[in-house]
Amino acid sequence: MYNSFVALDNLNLKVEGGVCLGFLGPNGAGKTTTIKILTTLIKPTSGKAYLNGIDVSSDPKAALSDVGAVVETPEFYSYLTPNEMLSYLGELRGMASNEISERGREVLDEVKLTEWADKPIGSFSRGMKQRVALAQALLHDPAILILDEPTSGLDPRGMHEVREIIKTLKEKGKTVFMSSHLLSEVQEVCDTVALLDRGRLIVCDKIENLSKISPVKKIEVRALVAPTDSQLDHICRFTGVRSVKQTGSQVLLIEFEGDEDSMAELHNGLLGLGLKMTSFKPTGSDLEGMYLEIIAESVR
Amino acid sequence: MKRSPPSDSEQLHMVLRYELLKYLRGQRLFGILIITALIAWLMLALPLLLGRGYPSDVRTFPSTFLSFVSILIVLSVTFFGSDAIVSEFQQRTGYALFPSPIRRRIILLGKYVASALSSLLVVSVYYAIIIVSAQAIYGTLLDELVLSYYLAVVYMLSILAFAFLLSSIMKGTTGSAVLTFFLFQMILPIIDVVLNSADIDPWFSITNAGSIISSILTMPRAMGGPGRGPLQPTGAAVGIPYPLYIPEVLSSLIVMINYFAITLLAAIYVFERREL
Repeated sequence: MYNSFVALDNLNLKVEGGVCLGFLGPNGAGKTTTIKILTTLIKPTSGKAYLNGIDVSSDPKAALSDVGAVVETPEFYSYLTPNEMLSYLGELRGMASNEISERGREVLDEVKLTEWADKPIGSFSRGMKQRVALAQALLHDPAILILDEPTSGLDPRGMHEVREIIKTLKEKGKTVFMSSHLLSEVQEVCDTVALLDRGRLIVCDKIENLSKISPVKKIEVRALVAPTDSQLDHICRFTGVRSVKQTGSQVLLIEFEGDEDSMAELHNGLLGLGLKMTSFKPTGSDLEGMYLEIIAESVR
Repeated sequence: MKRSPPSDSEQLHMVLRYELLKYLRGQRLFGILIITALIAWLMLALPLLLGRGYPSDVRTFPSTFLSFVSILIVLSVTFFGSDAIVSEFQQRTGYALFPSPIRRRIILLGKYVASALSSLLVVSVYYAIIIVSAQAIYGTLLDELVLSYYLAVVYMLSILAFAFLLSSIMKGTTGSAVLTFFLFQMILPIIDVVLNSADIDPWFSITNAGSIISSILTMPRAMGGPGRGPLQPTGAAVGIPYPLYIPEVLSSLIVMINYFAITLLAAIYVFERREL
């Protein structure tokens, strides 16, 4: 609670080991507050937070010993190089100097900062600092990773690389607790999602279960020639089609409810109408529909 | 991989090392040592350059030097202590450091020790110059000068702790530095003067207690005269038209140690509860 504003309201969330959980919610939902409580940056006015079963408020040193965290976009001491920063944080975590050198090389290579390893961080861009942040979180090979918008500030290639790193962590059985605004990113790397709105946990379930909440999919269809009114009328009458919008002269956006077989039938039906399709692809993530639906319900 | 973090004392040593590295790379230490050398050089060279020579009295020579110790200590504390804590919040470096398995009090104490060692170096260099010069010019070493050095170190430690408290409370590094400097160099000394002029003994004031560093050579009362009490004005010779309360060594030490302990504990208390 900040003054009279309730940032988190009876949040009760348990993440099992080995799970990669995407922590979603609109701005101000309480995602970063949760992460800050877990990483001891702020203290809750009531309630407890545990890491590896250890209360972070009463024994932060033990609770954080096997945790790597990236909170917001951290800054680093401008007079240190990535190698020195990793040495500092590695030493604080009890790593031996040879282990720090070896792991330091590995993680800097993983985040593509090898050639910058001995340059002062003061001259780094935001994206490069985000890479250093990720490197320090991975350095001690922790069992738990808490990542607050880990791809923030990165270019598209950087975002892809970070997602690949998180996928590798998941494969290694690490527990990943990751907040993100990018639903497609969460859908790509996480297996479970917790959705927070105005400090309350709305839902926490596996992505495959949550996708069923909103069965409506959006399909973008592009054609060589703009569809006629008659063709549009026919499309509206196909099974599962909820609505059809013409978003460009040769582009249609179809809201569709149905399984993969029904979608294949729709595809064939469009061809049967003589529509010269150049592409037929679902747009937006399954998660997006679920997210919007649940948030809308929560507001009601 | 699960591993136990080092002990608190080992972590304190690590924080200390990297904080000292900051002073070295940021050239703060170098800068303040240049200022120290410059002050000392002016003190030694100006009397000769002006053709006045050094005073004949062995007490007067170091007392001129000692009148600048306090400002040097305040400068040193401002350079090393004023932004030590606040910078972690303002510059967001705390986002990387605080989620590490280290107690906040250890971070603060490590930074405090680093600042204290750097300031100690500055004070020691300055006193070394005074002592060596006094030996070279007069061939003697005053016991009070050595005592003054110890008192200067205690004063430095106490106002450094105070600066850490300010640094734990303040929101910006510039504000913290400005407040630290003016508090010890102007605001508190002005309050001391006002209290003196109202015939109130400012025995509880840290800057009043710190004035023992120089008054130890110039005011015999400070060395255990007939108890606490106002030193009567000597009119035009002193230029102060009201009684002047001169602190004594023991009471000054007690006040300084209390300031040190209370403000350092308060700094830890505030820092451990401050949210980022």
